[in-house]
Amino acid sequence: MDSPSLAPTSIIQGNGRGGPPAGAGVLRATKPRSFWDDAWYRFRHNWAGMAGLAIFVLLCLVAIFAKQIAPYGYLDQDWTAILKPPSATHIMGTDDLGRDVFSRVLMGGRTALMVATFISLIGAIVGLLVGAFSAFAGGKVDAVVVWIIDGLMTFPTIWLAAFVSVSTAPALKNLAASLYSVTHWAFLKNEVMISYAVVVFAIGMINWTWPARLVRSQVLSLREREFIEATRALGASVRWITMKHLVPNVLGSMIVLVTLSFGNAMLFEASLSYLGIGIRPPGASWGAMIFQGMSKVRTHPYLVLAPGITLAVVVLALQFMGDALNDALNPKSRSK
Amino acid sequence: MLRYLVRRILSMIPLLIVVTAFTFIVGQYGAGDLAAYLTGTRGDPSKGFDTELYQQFRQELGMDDPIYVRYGHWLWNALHGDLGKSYVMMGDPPVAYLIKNAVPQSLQLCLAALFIVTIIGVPLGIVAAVFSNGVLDRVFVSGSSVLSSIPSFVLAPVAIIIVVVRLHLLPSVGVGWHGLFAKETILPAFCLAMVGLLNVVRTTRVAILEVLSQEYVRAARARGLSERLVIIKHVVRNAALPVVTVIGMTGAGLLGATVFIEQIFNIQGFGMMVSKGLQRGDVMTVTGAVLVSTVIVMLFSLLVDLLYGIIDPRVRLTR
Repeated sequence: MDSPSLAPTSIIQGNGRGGPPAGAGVLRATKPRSFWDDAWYRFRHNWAGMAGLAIFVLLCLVAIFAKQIAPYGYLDQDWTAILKPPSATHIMGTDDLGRDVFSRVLMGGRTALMVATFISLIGAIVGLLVGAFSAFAGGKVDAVVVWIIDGLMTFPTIWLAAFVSVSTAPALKNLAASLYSVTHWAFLKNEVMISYAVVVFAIGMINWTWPARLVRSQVLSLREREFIEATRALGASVRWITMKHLVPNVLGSMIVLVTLSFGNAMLFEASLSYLGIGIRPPGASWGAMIFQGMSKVRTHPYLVLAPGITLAVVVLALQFMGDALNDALNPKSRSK
Repeated sequence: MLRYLVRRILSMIPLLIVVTAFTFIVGQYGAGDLAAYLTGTRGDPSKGFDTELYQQFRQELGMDDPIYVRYGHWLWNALHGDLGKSYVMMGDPPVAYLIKNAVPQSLQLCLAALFIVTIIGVPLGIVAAVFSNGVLDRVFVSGSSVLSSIPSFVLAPVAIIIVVVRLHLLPSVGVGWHGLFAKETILPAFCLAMVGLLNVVRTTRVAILEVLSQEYVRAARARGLSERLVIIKHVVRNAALPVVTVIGMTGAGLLGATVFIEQIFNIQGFGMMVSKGLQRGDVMTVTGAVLVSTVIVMLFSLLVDLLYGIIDPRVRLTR
């Protein structure tokens, strides 16, 4: 969104980090600046992107240290403080079971972050593999893959995720139970853990379509470009072309897409939990908190607002970050 | 034209079959044993688990057939307007009946939202592009980012509290559907519209910027046309194609978001039916709803494709 698009490349300005050097006018040898240095320069000068990054880092820290930061246990019930509005002792108030909303929002952040990380990773890896495979295979294989992706995109994603999560939950539960009888790992018996897995699976099922589309179209268009042709003419192997030319060229768009899909994944997790088919009750989830608060929203709006605003701010932060990354990493595709 | 239409409609059929086969099979396996459920809830509890009744239910539901035979049956019946029964709801209502009652509300709601998102989003995008990188551009784009980032299940209750409870601007929604032009429809349609706002604003902005850099725009300016005339006569018309596409795609997204909006505003529509069906594990209802929603989305995208030809005669439909 910011207008200065080009980093100063003039050698007189030094390396662009400290402004003009002391002896201005004297030519100084400068370190060569890589594409990533340039991108970081562009990103740094985008205030919205930096604000997004700051919020995201804050969320990560808060999620990791949730147990240390939270003033109360997220399941602790205080029967003397039920539905208390925000105050000095409970900065976001308490819910109908006397649980501290702030502590629950922190733990919800941990859930959201964890689920979204897995979903984006799975989406990126599966998407990358499918997209690249489809583009390289070409012909009928490619046509079928594109057709499947288009098909998955025709019906409302949230319904698909909800449907998959409802109908695979019992199967995954059985799977976990039979795994438990072999391995005796305790977490396989944990209902909350299984609900995490279901949500990740359900959203991961549909989240790979965007990266797959991107990778496919990028590989297809890059393949026809002159510099790839030239490299091939020089006798480069497929592996060399892939590692040296395709991967770096796709990486930028991929990072942007993963950032944006991270926010989407959080939104999906919250949506499923809001519908009552995501994270199971003892686990803390912003979506579930919003749903529980909804019945008292007229008298105790903070029950909805605290997790709701947090969710919106985080999603917005990721959106801004993704936009800034796009401007930084794909300067040519900038929307002016 | 007619040939194109027929080919487009025929090409939908395989996709429909795959989508419904997927939902049907996943649903049948995932939901557990429906006959056992029916035996448990409808049988005589004093007899314990009534094996005889169980077998009877299995027979009745055709559960001893292989899955593809069952799917074939279901599809054949669906073609005749019978989508099976919802065994979870009271009185085993036919799914087709439930859908027939739910779809009109949701379609009207979606159309209203689509209308709102168009009349708000497109002008915002045009202004943002014309004043590209100016204050208005930033305010409009980041403003619509904010509105689209708020999940609809947060935006809707907040809107209710502010607009209905505090300011008394609109009547309380109450229960049910009051018609497309009722005052009660404004708020849910507005909240639904916000889901797609950012996409529409952005696409419009980029499309207009694209056209603004074209030679014929410069030529029009060189001929001395006022900037307003240039924008209205030359730019907006030529930028229409991508905008129509994105509005079409937004339609599908809005249908999905009705799940939340209808629940909060108590509208007995399609979204409400699906969310209830999912929560109760009502497989037949959800499978039927998926079929109908896929058909709706496909018809919608067909409509958008046909619109292309009207907006831009260069797009030939006879390909």
